[in-house]
Amino acid sequence: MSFQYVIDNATSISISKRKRVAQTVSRSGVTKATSVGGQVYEFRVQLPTGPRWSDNRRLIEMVEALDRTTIDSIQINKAAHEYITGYQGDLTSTSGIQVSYSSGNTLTITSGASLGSGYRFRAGDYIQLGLGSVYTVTEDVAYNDSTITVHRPIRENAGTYTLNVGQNVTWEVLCVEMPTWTIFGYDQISWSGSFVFVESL
Amino acid sequence: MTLDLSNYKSVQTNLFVKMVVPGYATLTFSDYHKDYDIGGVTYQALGELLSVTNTSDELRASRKEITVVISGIPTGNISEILNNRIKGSELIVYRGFFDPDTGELLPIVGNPAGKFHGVVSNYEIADDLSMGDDTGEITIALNVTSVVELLNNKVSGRRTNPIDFPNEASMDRVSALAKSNFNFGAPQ
Repeated sequence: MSFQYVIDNATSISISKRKRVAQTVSRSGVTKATSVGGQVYEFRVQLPTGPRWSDNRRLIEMVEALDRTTIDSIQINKAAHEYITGYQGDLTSTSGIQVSYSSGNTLTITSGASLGSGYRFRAGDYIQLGLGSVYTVTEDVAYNDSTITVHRPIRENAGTYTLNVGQNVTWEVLCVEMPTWTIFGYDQISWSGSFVFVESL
Repeated sequence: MTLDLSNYKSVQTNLFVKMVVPGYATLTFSDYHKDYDIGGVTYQALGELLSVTNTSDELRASRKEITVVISGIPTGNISEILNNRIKGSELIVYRGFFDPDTGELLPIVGNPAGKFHGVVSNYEIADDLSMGDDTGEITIALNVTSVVELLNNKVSGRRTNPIDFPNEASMDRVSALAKSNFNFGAPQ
């Protein structure tokens, strides 16, 4: 446990994955937009003020050992975080779902995910192609629909992948901002700011 | 070639840089999110190419210079720069227009289009470390001069150096005769 300690003990988590965009507005009000892509996951995570230093110093040392140079894995998979990344569809099991990818930002379900009614995936569900990149579903996928549209162009090569879904997805991240800690009062910690983790690609 | 983008409310643009290093290799990299093939050449993905400075398009051919900044990823970049004849390398920048949602190339005639064509005139390897801020960056900046600028460096007039005309002897004695005295009409 290292960066995972920060995620598991967060008092706030902000997740950003938007495009990098430039917009132009004409005198008549017509707006045009240009993107340069991006859509890389960025996590801004705040740790609470007040936990015991003596209880957490071992874990904090592990975090600082990684510093801003070492890539580590994080998951938002704590039971209490189920509402953040938990699967929202109607499948009783999300293991063994196979998808194929050829181009663009869509995947095709090729096996698994059998359902008689309801939704295979709902917008906002997190999916991961094998051990590759993580994507969010942007449109509901009904029980009889096999196309999954995700939030960014697929980074992986064309092929077939097994999905990790919901709390099982894993991000490889690099810490780009690491706040310093302060011991105050007696045996309590406060942090100078938020941790910022960026998806390592 | 002019690209007709009038039917698109939004587009995604990415730059593709091709640098032909004499006696070494052709380096290709881009800020697209994954490796991409253009004309049978694979451009390496995001990471290496940090920025390309702005350019302006004019009706008249004019002298321009851009700076292409790349990072040390992969680390072979620095040795590629230091150990090869980077100065003088031909560099071409293409701009591709993509669908911002799917990331697929827009089906427009002439896409991707050429953006800049020049020759590397200088490079700078910057190793900036700000100890107080605890931040730093290592970049390679390639200064690229347009081909129009190179054409302006032509030699004006006519070259008359002997080295340019090794078989021409009519001027060989000029230097010896220069400032000599001649007694025109004097008895021998």
